[in-house]
Amino acid sequence: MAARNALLGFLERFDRRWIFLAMGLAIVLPLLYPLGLPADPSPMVKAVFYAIDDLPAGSTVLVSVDVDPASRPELEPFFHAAVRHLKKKGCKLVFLTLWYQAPPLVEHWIKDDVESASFPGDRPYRSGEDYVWLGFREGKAVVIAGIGQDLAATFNGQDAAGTPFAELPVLRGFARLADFPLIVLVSAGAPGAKEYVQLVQSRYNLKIVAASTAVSLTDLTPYYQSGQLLGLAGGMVDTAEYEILVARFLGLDPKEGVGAKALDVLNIGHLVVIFAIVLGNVIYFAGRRR
Amino acid sequence: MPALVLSILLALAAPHDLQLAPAKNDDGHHLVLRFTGSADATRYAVYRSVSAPGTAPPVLDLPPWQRVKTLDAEAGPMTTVDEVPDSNTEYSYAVRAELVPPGAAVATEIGPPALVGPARPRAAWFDGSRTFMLTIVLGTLILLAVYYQRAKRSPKAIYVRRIPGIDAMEEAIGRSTEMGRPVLYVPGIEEIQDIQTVAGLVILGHVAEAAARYETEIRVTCMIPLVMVVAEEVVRQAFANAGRPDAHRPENVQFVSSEQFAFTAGVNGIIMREKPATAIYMGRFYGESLVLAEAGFLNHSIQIAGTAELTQLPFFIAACDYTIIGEELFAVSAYLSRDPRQLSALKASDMVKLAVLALIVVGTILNAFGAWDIGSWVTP
Amino acid sequence: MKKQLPLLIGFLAGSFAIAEFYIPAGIVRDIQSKLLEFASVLAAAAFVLGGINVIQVNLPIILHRRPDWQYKVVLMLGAAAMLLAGIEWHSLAAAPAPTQVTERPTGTTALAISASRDDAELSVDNKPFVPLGSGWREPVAPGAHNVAVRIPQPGYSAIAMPITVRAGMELTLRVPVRMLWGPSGRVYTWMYDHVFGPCNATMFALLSFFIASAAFRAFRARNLDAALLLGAAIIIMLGRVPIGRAIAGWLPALSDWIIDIPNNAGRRAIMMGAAIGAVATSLRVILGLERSHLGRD
Repeated sequence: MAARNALLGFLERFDRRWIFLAMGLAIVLPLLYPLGLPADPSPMVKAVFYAIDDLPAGSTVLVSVDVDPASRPELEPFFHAAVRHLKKKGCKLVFLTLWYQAPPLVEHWIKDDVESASFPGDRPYRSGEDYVWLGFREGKAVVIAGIGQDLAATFNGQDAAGTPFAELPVLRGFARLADFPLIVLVSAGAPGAKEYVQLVQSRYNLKIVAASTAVSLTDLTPYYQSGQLLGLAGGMVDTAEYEILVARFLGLDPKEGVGAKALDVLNIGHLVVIFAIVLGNVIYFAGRRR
Repeated sequence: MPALVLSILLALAAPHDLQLAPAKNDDGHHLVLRFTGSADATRYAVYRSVSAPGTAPPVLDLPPWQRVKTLDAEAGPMTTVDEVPDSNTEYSYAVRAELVPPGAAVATEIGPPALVGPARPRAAWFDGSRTFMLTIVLGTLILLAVYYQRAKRSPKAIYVRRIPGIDAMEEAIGRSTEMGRPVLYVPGIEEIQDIQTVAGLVILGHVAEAAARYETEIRVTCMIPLVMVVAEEVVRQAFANAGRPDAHRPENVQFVSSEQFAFTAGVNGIIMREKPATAIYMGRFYGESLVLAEAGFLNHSIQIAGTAELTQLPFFIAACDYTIIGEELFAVSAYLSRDPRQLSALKASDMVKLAVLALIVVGTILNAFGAWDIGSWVTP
Repeated sequence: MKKQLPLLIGFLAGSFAIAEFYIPAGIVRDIQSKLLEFASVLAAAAFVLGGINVIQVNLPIILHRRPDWQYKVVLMLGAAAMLLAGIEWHSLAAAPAPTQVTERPTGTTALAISASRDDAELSVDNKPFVPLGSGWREPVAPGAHNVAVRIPQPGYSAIAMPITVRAGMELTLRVPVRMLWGPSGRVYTWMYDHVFGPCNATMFALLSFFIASAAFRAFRARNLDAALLLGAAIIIMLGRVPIGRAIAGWLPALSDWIIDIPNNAGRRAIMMGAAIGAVATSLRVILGLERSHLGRD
């Protein structure tokens, strides 16, 4: 009885900082000691993979990278995997962003993945001939509507470095969104995938695949179900699954990817949250009984 | 004879049944070209000219003809929409069938081009595809007028159910007064044109007036400078409405940062330092919602949140004392003021909701029996 | 007039915005795009007001040494640093020196490249970039070649140019590399990478702790509704990660069903209600029914 009372007293005085500590350990330990639990890509993620894989070799793809540093863990693995996938298909890439925080990140990532050989058999891409970075444009939904009609007018006819469109072979014949056989959206929020679907997808019958944060997944899933998005990778889980698919495609070790390691963090992190819920209920019911 | 056969064969190889018409519901810059392709073509080259087609065979590679697009061949009739530079000019089109053998870089023409035109684009002064939406808006206006008259005659007849979160606002401001601590108000993090920000600013007026009456300090933190400008004016007017214009301190309406998490850090800092007894979040929020709410909880503030941002509602519900969900955010002003004009708008929107509900039920039943594709009628 | 004029302007602007949605004719769109330009200019001007507000609020705290004034110093210095780093100072300076190209007969066909910085990288003929160090020299085949020189860190100028090396000649390139300013410049990018990025990510990372803490505090099975909520939360949390599939094969399917069916139904209901509420609120503001911000009657 005394032990029971002591336990009840401890539970009533339970400091939530123990939960913070448990969460901190749940995040750090799996990164240091990976569990390597198997991941089975979902149909939505496979749809992203197939949409890119079905592209004819050498296609030109538009990639809208609307991210900020906060969304890097969820979206950066997808970007790296998608760019590698597209480069393996020999696709030419047109990058742009609607978020003012994105350009330094995107420029880093372009340097790491696009301008360098990022997997065995890869070659560095040349700006203007194999890829172009159009940069950031202020205007949010207005920019999306603008590029739906005229890419050059929206970006003042030049890329981020000031090179006129006429001097960029990669953009020849690509004047608006409908000219691209596929649009890849890496979207951390608004403006992003939802705005693209609402404003331009149906209007121009665009083929779009998207990666989003987990919080936006429930918002975007109806668009995947209706066919307006060909594929959707929402959150770290789906990003990691896509990374695994691409690693297998490229003949690399799937466990080496950042996303795959982050999956272990998610596994344990979710268990910690569930444990916190259960503990909270134990304390609640113990208090009621008293 | 062979020449005759050849010309017949060539004619058969050309695209046919060409039709050129102005696009419907258009801004006056688009023409719609329809045609039926030929069996052997792999693609079609579309040319445009400002002159009439004439009787002589055109030389498409020279002005005034200009190649405007290339279409991959499809089975069945083909349609393409061309954006023309001048809405006051007539245009003619020519379609030429081309064959690109596999592996070849150069296309071969098949047959003579087919010509059509001239036609001029036509600007529409009403987009017919949006008739249903206009009906909804007009219906709402009519209902507004009807319920406004009813509210003017007997204001008490309009019943509004209790919303605990709104009832708690005045109580929470009173608590701030007793504790001698300020009220913190965050009108969302979106731009001024967002309707949730507008709703948040309208509610700010009521909260600021109550704070002025209770002689309590109110701190407003804004992420968008233009919202800050409007919020300052709203608070100033609210203090004047309460008869205390001298008590208003402009520095209490503060622009923190236009970067989402810098703003969050700034507001958290204000919460931890100034320890508001009441924190009210009304408007559109994104990932920072839980960070703000948890900071307020750690500070033991009473927290009332209201948003129509679906992804953040669960966080507010979990972390705040009261949450105003979705459409209730837009009802707060009417609920607090009990102004007949605003209550009538509330009632009108309820009636529109009933109409939408009826449409969903009827449409579902009809669609289930395949009787009527209602979607094609209501969507633009 | 003080109240009527704002209401009239609001009514006219709002009515035009509604009418524009239904009128596709070009002239209406032209007026709309002009109005959007005006709005953009207004929003940009408001940023100046925002900056002034930051100074107005924080400077008195620093000057009067009110509590936590040191943080305000950090705030003001940080804002000033980003403002100054974001200006393209290099475009105000003299034009950069061009790449020096010299050619001399040596009997062997070779290419020699050096840069003004030792940490530059070089790519010849689209091969992977290699460190340039104090210089690079190699025999090449006569004819056209592509040369690209860059600094691995962002914020420096880079060159990419075609060159032609004649047989028996050594072509020497001396590439000047300069530090850039502005949003793509070195200082700005450094501050973004080492200050803004980590701080931004840290604030977002707090969510993981706060979610656990909020779940601990709020998900109590007080009644049937709350019990259903926490049950669904547990099922979805497990179903969304691989460990859920390892625990029970049906968890992912159940999780997907909860998200796709009951969750979607509730979301759509809230969305429709909020949309209708937004229409009513907009009409209230446009028609001038909402006028508490203009003062009492």
